[in-house]
Amino acid sequence: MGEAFRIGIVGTGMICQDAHLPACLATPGVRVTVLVDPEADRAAACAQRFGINPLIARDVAELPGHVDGAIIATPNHTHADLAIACLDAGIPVLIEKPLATTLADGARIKDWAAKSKIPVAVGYCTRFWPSVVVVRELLQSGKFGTPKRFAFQYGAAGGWTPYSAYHLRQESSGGGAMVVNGTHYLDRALYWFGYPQSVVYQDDSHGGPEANAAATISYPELTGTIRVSKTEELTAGCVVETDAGILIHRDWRDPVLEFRLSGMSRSRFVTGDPGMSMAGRPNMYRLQIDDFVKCCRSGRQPQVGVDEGLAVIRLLEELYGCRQTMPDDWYRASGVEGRTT
Amino acid sequence: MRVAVFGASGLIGRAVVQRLVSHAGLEVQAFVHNTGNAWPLLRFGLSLRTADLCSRRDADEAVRGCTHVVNCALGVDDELVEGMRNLLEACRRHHVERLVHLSSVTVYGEPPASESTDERAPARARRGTYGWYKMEQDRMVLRAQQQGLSSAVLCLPHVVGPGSRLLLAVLRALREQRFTLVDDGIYPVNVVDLANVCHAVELALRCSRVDGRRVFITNDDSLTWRDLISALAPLAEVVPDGVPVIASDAARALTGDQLTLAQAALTILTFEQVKAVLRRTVLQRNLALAAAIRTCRRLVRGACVGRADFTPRMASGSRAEGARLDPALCLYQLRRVRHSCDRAKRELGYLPVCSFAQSLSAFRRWYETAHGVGTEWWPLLRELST
Repeated sequence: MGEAFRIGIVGTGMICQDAHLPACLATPGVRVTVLVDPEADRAAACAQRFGINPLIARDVAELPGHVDGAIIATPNHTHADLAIACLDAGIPVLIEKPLATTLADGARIKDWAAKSKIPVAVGYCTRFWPSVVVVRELLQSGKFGTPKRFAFQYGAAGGWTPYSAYHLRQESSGGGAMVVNGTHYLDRALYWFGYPQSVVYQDDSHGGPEANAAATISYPELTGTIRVSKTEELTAGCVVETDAGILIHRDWRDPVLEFRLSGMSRSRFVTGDPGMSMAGRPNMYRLQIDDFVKCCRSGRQPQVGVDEGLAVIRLLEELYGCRQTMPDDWYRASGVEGRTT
Repeated sequence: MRVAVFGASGLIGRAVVQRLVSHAGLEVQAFVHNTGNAWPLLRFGLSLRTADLCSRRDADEAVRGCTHVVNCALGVDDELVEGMRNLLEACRRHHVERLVHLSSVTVYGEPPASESTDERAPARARRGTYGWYKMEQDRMVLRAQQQGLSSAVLCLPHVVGPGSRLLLAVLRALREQRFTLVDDGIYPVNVVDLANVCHAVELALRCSRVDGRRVFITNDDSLTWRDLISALAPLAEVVPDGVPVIASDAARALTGDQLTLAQAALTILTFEQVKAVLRRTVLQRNLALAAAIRTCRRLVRGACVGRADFTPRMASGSRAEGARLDPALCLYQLRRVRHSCDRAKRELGYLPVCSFAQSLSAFRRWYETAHGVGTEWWPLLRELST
């Protein structure tokens, strides 16, 4: 094995400690050499927790010379400036999703990446599930018919609680549930079906970050929905209806892929590939790091690149641009005094 | 009046905050333990802070400057007691004018004693259960009241209305054919709608006649489990008459958590339906016995390891033959008492503002929107849940 790939992680909050840092430590040939955080104590505590001894830095300006690549794992609104600072110093970046909070910021990153010819990867980690790639191949090859309708869904009551609580401020998160969770599904929809022709969108933001959202995205011969909730438990995954039957892709749960053939209500089969079962499925963050390292070393494009990250922001802005208010005054029709949702 | 609401991101806390801000026009400071599900609160443009009631410092800083406190905070075991202690200390230190604490009917045990139609019945939750910790909290509040902290304790049954965990659990069990009606669903189901809880909290904040003792807050109706299932069946896409039924002695045996294999077997063998099978042919008798033993083994194994997904099946020969049982929902049906909210009416001037029919309508509208039921997408979304 050659020299270790040196990684700096910018931001030592929850996604660093729960995902990126453990993934780096578990990846052979990767070494975390710098932790960057304006709160140096937190970075030091993080290093101690994981039993590593990296350089603790307060600013990305300290990265050059110490790393071969950096992971930007900071609040969303800081992605663009930090990524550009790294690119300017010649450092490839893996940017935690979303690429940025605005299309303009995303475009700035893309321009710098193009100008510097330095790899930029975007952290849509679920793309590293083998089943996601298999579904794309199935749909694009037409082997399971022509898609007619699809429905993505994700819902959790609570859950992800970043240390800085940046997700609660629209200016730092760029939105609400549709950004934090929904962008994974927007990305997957774009990956499977391409960019839609028209969109309809509803949420309950009332001027703040939305907790519940539902988008309908349409193509000439295909239409689908993406529903996300941060108040309700909804089984996560996607169902695609084709003229051959129904394909069910479940997140986090076995069986990952399930097929039902049209006109055969009792026919149901599931994938037997151990690479796709939850038990045998490799950690997606590890695969993401692996891909990032390989593209830094070989100069090839990352599996999820800046163009794809930018397409998600574009779609997100389109959705927010046609926002309608989701009904949430459940008692009004019953004539109950006092609004309570 | 400046009201601190703890547990503001939970189902009840969120509704209380919204009610106090938009209906009562009060100044509210919302506190959450963590920010994971705090998003819906942000729409009210109110001040939102995190506070860990298990930290004396957090509790003290949170209560400072507030005249009234509403405690909707959840917790696990000792956290409930520790958090309550810190909150009461903070209330006393900062001369809070009124504490409204949310308690639970589980303080009366599982199942509750028949005399607990009235709040004065002795609380007798088994040590270590959720009800026991809530009982400890209630005792602490009563002591604080006796020491001068004006306090109201609102004792709630299952909460219904939009987002109700009970209704969601019943719907899911119906859809997955895990729901079994005990004694044909004749027993009362004690529920309170969110709107009624919020109304009661508002009254308790303003009322001068509170004494730190529990007050039942319910919908004050005569709802039975059969009524509940009939109302929810269309949403679950099942026929109410198709819901299996078991006798309460069977339900008690199958939901017991302290049974030995022998006890469980003996209990099951006393079921009328099982006795009837035992009088049949040798083959039927042997099959029934084998099924009963399997049920007992799974029952005991499930109880021993505390498996949450433990779902015993009824032995052949019973009316609910082959049905999987949801033990928690069976247990709820064995609470045969109807808690009366007469005291709340007398002391707080409480009158429910929302009937069960209105509550169910609100729940249905919420459920259809939140889960996509009834939309063009529902046939696809339903595939994910099954």
